[in-house]
Amino acid sequence: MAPESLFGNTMVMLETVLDFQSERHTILSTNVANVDTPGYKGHDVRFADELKRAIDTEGTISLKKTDERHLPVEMSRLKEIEPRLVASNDSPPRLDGNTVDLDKEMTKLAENSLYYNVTAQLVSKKMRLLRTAISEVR
Amino acid sequence: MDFLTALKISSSGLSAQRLRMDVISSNLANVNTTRTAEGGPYRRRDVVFASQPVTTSFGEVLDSMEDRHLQQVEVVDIVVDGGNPKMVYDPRHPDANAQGYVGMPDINVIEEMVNVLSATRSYEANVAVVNATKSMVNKTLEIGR
Repeated sequence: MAPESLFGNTMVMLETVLDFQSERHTILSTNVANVDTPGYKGHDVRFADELKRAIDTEGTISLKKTDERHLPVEMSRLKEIEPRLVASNDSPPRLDGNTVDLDKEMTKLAENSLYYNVTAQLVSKKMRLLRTAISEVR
Repeated sequence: MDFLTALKISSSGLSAQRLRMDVISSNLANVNTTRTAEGGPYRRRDVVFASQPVTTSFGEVLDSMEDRHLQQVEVVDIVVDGGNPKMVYDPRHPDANAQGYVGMPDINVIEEMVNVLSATRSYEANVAVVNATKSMVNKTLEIGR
């Protein structure tokens, strides 16, 4: 059974984006915690390119069937995206070799946090939509 | 990957900055101390920060991306300044030497105050991250309500 039957591809995509954003949040908090550590190199996560490629690629990944009577199991391609970790080199290293720019990190963190809230809100709305569709039959 | 990791990392930053603040306040409080347990005037102390990999029970098993790149901060050492004491001429001081000079701690109050501000800002940044994490977790809990 394809998961799209009930939630559609939107839900899978929102899930993936939520995962990515929570991962990015953790990476950014690592940078903020190490703002005074000499020699620490800041990191960031890139994701948009991979997501776009997965959306553009049509089709799903199917599990191999060893018997004709097996039910088809299909996974969205979105499930196989791996966020890409990159060194954030938007600021030159300070005298102690640290590359974390606190202002930039806090901006990124606030932005990511907002996007996360938006995505979570979208998941909520999608659920509510389904619930409405279910309850209106009664 | 979960939010508890983010909270753990932020709290490591908070406790490191708090310890740094403790050391700075010790330096400021002892700016005129001429007698210490190890003898001689008080010597300025400084913290050494180092990033350490976050160890979670699950993370130790899986060699995943976060194991290599998630680094919490820890105070690995508190170093004592090895510089010579500042000699101040004060013949009436009980610890003055034969020439009337007293060895005073070589502490620059302005430098310490700047460090206080720096530690405060870094602490506040970590608090902001904790709050952001909390709001994200609360938003997640609202899914399906």
